Amino acid sequence: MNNLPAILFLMTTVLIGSIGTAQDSVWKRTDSDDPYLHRIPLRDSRGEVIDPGSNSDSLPHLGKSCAPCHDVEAASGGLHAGQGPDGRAGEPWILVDPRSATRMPLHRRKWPGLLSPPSMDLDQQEWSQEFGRHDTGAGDDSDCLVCHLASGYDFAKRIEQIDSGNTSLAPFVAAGLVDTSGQLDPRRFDSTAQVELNLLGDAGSQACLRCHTVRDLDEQNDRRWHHQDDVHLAAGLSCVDCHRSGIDHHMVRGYEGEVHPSGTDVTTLSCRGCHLDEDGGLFGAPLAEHRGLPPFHLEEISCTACHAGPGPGRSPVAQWTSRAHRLGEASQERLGGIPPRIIGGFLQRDDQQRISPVRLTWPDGWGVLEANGTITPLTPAQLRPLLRRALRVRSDLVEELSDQIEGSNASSVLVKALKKLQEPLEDGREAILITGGRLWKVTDADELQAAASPAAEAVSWALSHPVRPARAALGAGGCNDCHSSTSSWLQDRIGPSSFLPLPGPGEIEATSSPMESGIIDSSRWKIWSWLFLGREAGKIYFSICTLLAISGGLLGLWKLIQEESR
Amino acid sequence: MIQRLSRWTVLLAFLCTISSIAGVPVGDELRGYWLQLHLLVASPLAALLVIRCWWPAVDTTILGQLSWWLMAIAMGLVLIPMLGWTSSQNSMVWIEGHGWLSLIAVAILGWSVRRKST
Repeated sequence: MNNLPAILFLMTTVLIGSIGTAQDSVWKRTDSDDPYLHRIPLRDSRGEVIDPGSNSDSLPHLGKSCAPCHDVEAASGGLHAGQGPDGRAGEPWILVDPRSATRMPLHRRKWPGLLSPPSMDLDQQEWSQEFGRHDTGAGDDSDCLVCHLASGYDFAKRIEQIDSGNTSLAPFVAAGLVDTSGQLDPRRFDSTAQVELNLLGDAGSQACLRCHTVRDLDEQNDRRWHHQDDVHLAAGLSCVDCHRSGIDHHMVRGYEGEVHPSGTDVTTLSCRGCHLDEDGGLFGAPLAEHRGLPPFHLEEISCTACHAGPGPGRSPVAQWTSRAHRLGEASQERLGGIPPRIIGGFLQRDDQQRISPVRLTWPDGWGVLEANGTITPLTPAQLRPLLRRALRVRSDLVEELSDQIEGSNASSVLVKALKKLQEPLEDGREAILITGGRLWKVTDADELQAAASPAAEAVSWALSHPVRPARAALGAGGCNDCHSSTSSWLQDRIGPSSFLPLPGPGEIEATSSPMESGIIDSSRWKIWSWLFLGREAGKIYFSICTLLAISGGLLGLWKLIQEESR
Repeated sequence: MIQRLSRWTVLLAFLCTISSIAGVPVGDELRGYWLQLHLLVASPLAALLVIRCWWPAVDTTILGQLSWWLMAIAMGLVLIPMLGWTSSQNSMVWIEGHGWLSLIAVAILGWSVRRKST
């Protein structure tokens, strides 16, 4: 009987072990590198197999269709579902409402300068309606197909369906299994009522680029396919080779110092971890030598500053992103100036104080300045009736008011709008406008007055792609790529612009370059630029001096030793 | 003339040493204004070093000559990263070698002067 506790402990251990094994075995795996051809039945929300031949009006349910073989609960979490640590600031979602000229950056994560969805009265359903087109973690029904269906996924149809509120059917319509009325396409089913889907763990970079495309808008509006420039894709890698995850879908973001929620060391999946680690990175990644580059540059500058920021001779440029500009949707109205305005390639100091390239956007919108100094944003739903009454705006505030003011100062119409917004407010609360990097309010003399405010400042997030190879990186042309007066990207003034013309000083004051904003020490940089004018000559000069001094010194030393020995 | 140049060489070597103090801690790299000053002083020093090595002053001792020769070698060490003959990460080895050898050379120079004066 003395052995009873030990026996009980042993039995418990064996039991727990067997449960663990059983749980592992629930999920089907081939454990082969050969992709598994998915020939599966579709199931409805109760998990019942749908027979396309029957007259049942059951609609397919993606989660239930995948659940027999995959841990759908775990897979619907992860980075895209907003789980895990917030980490470094990423691209915000931007709420764009033309009727109120609102362009407010927001996110469910607590990143600096962003509003939260509740502050704009966005519940889960409204969020899905607004952003679900590009937010794979938006609703309760995760769309596995948008990332894992390697061919035959029509992203434009997904956008159509989500815009019209058919979130749960969107993946099936996009995959061509169901028509827009919810009718199954019988031609897609075989004689055993199964459909064949080319589902892959890694469905290729195009699956990621649906939501992560970025396009440059240069002066000629040359909207070239941005991501083809990425050296990793050109070398045959796909996005998930670095941005890896398990079934929990906690995708590795790949920045230095990243803490992965699983506790796994993901150091080798950052630029430095892969290319500067003497032990070697993934796939025999080339070890970056940076010959001739003084080592402190690697401490002061992020990898992306030279390999992803503005290239030699280029300046920060206006960009479109999938999520902000609805890329993937066929449109004839996506013209160069459509909001929101995003500038890519500006340099800032990151959280490790390294010079890093970022994308920037500035908030535009209306709000209430509370007595305690905080700002409560006004939502498009609150603004629309008031602005319609004050300014007679029907569908597009900027377009309609631009016609009224014919390019001149918009102060008077915006004063009218702010006074209308002020009417229902109690004493101590002030209606305000945020645009052009400034907070605007109406004075007692009925004039617009600008003030600086953190709420109006630029929101930034790291720019990491496309990555350029060494020969196309900043510095490939020598030190003068940065240390010369021709390196304009250090001096280019980037700033906000108000959605309508407003008195000048506010806009000019809010405009700055990396030099002016103190990101780079301008006087030190100017001395270096001057010194580097003679760098090549300096190398020859020091080499000759060294050779002569060493030989002369050795000769002199030999003579002295000989004299001494006499 | 040689004697006057010799004094200038000593002065510039001293200034070079002073301007490099910020880079003395192991692993720290001389940078910014101190590096700019160091380079400005080192440029004429390089030429003077050639003269000092080829035409030593009359009272030059073996220790004195050895110190100038070590300084010339130290200048050679820093050329390795400057000319891009090594990776950026390995540059620190050469730069620190340059720094420590220069300091040793200055110390030997000081010792030789002290021995001569006693």
